[in-house]
Amino acid sequence: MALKLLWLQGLSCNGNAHSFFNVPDMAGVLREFAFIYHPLLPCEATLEEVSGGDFSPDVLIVEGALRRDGVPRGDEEALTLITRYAKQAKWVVCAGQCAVFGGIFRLNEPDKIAGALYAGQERGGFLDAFEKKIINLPGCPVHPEWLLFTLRMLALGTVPRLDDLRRPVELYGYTVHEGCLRNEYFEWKVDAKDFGAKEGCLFYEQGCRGPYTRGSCNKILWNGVNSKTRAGMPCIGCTEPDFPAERLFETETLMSIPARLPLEVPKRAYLTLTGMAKAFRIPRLTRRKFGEEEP
Amino acid sequence: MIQRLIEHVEGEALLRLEKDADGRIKRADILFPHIRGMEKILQRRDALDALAFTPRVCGICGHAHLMATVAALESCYAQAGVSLEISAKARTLRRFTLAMEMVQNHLKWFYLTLLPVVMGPAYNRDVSVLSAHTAASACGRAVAVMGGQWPHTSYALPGGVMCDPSHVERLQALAAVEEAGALFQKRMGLSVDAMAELEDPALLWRTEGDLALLLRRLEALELLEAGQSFDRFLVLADHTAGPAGKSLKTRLAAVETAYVEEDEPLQSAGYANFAKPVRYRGRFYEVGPLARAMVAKDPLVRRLHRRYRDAVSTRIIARVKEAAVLLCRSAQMLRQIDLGDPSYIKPRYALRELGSLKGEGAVEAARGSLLHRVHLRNGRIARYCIITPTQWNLASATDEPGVAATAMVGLKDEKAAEVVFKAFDVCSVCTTQ
Amino acid sequence: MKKELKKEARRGQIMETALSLFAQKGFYATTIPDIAKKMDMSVGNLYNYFPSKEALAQEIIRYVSTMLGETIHEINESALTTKEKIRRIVRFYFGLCEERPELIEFFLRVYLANREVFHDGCEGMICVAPFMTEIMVFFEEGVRAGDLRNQDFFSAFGLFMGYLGGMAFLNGERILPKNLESYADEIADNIYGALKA
Ligand code: SF4
Repeated sequence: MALKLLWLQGLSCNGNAHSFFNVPDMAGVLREFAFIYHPLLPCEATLEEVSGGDFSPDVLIVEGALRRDGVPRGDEEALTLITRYAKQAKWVVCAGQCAVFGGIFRLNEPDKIAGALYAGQERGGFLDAFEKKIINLPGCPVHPEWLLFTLRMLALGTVPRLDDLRRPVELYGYTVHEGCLRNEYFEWKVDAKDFGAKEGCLFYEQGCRGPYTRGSCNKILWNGVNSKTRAGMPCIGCTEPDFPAERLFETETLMSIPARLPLEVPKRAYLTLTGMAKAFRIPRLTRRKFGEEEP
Repeated sequence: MIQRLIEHVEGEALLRLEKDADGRIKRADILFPHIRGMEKILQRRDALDALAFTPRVCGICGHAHLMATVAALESCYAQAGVSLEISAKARTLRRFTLAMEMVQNHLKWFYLTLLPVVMGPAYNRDVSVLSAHTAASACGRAVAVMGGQWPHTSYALPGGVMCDPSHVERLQALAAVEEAGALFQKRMGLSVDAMAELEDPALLWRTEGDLALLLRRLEALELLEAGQSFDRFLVLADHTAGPAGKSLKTRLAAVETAYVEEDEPLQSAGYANFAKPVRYRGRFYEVGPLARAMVAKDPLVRRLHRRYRDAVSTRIIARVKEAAVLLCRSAQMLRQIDLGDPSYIKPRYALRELGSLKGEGAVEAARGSLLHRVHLRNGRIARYCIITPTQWNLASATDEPGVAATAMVGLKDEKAAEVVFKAFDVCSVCTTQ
Repeated sequence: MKKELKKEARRGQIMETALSLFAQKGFYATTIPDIAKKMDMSVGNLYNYFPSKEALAQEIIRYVSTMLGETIHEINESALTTKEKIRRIVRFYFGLCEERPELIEFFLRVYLANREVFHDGCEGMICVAPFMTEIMVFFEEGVRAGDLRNQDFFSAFGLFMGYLGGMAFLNGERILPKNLESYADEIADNIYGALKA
């Protein structure tokens, strides 16, 4: 029996729905899951029917931030609709930063808008009563393959192991930094002089948050081919409860020392290693990758 | 009065239809009930943060918002008298990734929005979804090759782009463009080149493919001529397939963004609406692929226009054709890029060194002209204003129905109204951001 | 174990001896046989402890840096205000200038002036890492606490250490009319005044 999925939205940009639409294996998705409702896919029911009916989904997927009122979906408030189906569902998967922590849109009314379990970095969301059913998949947007992995695990009857923020450890046990092609530049403290180069690490000047942001962006690539940090865009920390931070495209430093260090790395250890690494100039890492000839 | 929730339009919209004695639609109110407050959220933030924020206005055309932010910030430099050097490569890459987003949009719209409503139960769900998926994921991949991911990359910034592609990336991107092109040919029965060069509408009806199928169905439903509106077209920015300008019927003229003005949302009893109408010199204009084709004097669309004016058939064909034109041009753009060009040339000053600045960026997005207006104070955003294509096409004013509302007047039933409505390629999230 | 300890102590004595000879005769004029002679040990035996004069010099700079680093570490970990921490660092440094001038001399005249000696194994700031790490922690925490103005590390470091080095030099040349330590608080206040937020 195909797992019955119901995808409902709060305040959202539809980006998670579109992100999910990029799964590599859509034929598999159509075969393995039955969508009661999804914002893009043609499905069994209309939103109006969902709002009037009783569909007992196996998994409720929530996209978007929540607010007590002012977010009508059909004839009902989104939160009423979502709460009703959260009760019925076996699992509630929060897809994306907004559903998990409230995301960017929470900034509009921080005291009124929140995620399922969290209001930004604090506990206290709108679906606290269903905590035990909730699986959080933060990210702006959610990575399609992270969501598909979670759904497939549930289809197999296995709940992925979760961390203390109820994120699957196999997806969020990595930092974004792990697997970035610029790791060697990080190791030897070779900073990217500017945007727009394959060479250099974006941690020192351009604001990359990869070393303290959880997520497997550089393990399970985006759109099957790339990641922001590989391409040259700093990680903006979109899976973390403190997203979005201020000044995303520059590194905050205190007397030239990055204000935030890689997760759990003590300051003295970091500074000592930095001093060591900086003492050496690795010729290969100071040249353009493909030699002086232009590519 | 009939009330209908229109779904699968990047969120929902509510249609309120009033009918006359013959049962024809007399008045159509289009209501968009939520707002997320992006303009307010941007206030006081660092100017460059807008690069990460505005793409999150919309999950399907966020990349156009990124490009509008870049254009607006670059125009702030211009206002300060600081000239920026943007390499040809950076310009081309921006246009390329934007074109890819537009193509994924057009094909998703065709297969996920339009076919189901026009064909009714006669369409094959799985074929539709898989066609949309192949096109969308190929185009998304092409953006990701350059920008790291799609949706929601912020890889362009004042001064250029953040990536540094080599031949490897160029070929990966080309392969993605070709994959989307192959899907187009397989499903539409015409190669993208043939479609891009097509001038004779009769040939369209004779091909065997999804577009022809849809047109024949529209013909059977007597909807080919439905959905005519003001017959005024606006293109605020130069784009890959043509120039900026406006077209009153077929009469062309230049445009200036200074004449663009927003108004208060239409109030409709008992239901919230946040869609602000927008007019050019006090008049409503249609934006989007049809407007672009009219201003670019596209021969196929002009010929259709002679027969059907700004009806659904012209509108739909213009959009499908634009996907083909963009796919052709994208492959050319990729081949032309000089990979040795710099990707990014750092502006001589940071925005925060330049005091009080005003800027504006217009971009042609999938659904039409997108305008961002920004006011900076010492590098922080004092005011940010976003005017989206769907505001042009969908929003009515209290004193005057807008483009889509006018297009629905006189239609025979709600089904026709839904077809006409969806042919505009509605985006609920953009309309109200 | 005992033997190890003894060897360690002996290494310390050799370094102290070398330091005093470097201060008296200069680094280049001092030879390994000079040091061995003063230690009352054979040259061959001394080479068992340090394979070359360069190695000995590197070891000394590490020793000095560790000592400075440990003291600043304690100051960093204390509950003092940033202003008070600067006083402590300055007092400690000037005290050292008075009590162990050969250490400061070595740092200023040998380490900074003869970088070629400190090439292999002592690149960049590696041999002074313990000191550098602590001074960076000091600055970083000063900014974090809102006491110091955020700026480039080396701008701040140059101001701090250049000032202290300059005073140590004037003192060494016997130009200062008063004893060095009596300047400590005023100089600390100047430094704080120049770096504060
Ligand atoms: S660019 Fe970011 S993710 Fe990549 S190595 Fe540097 S810090 Fe890590």
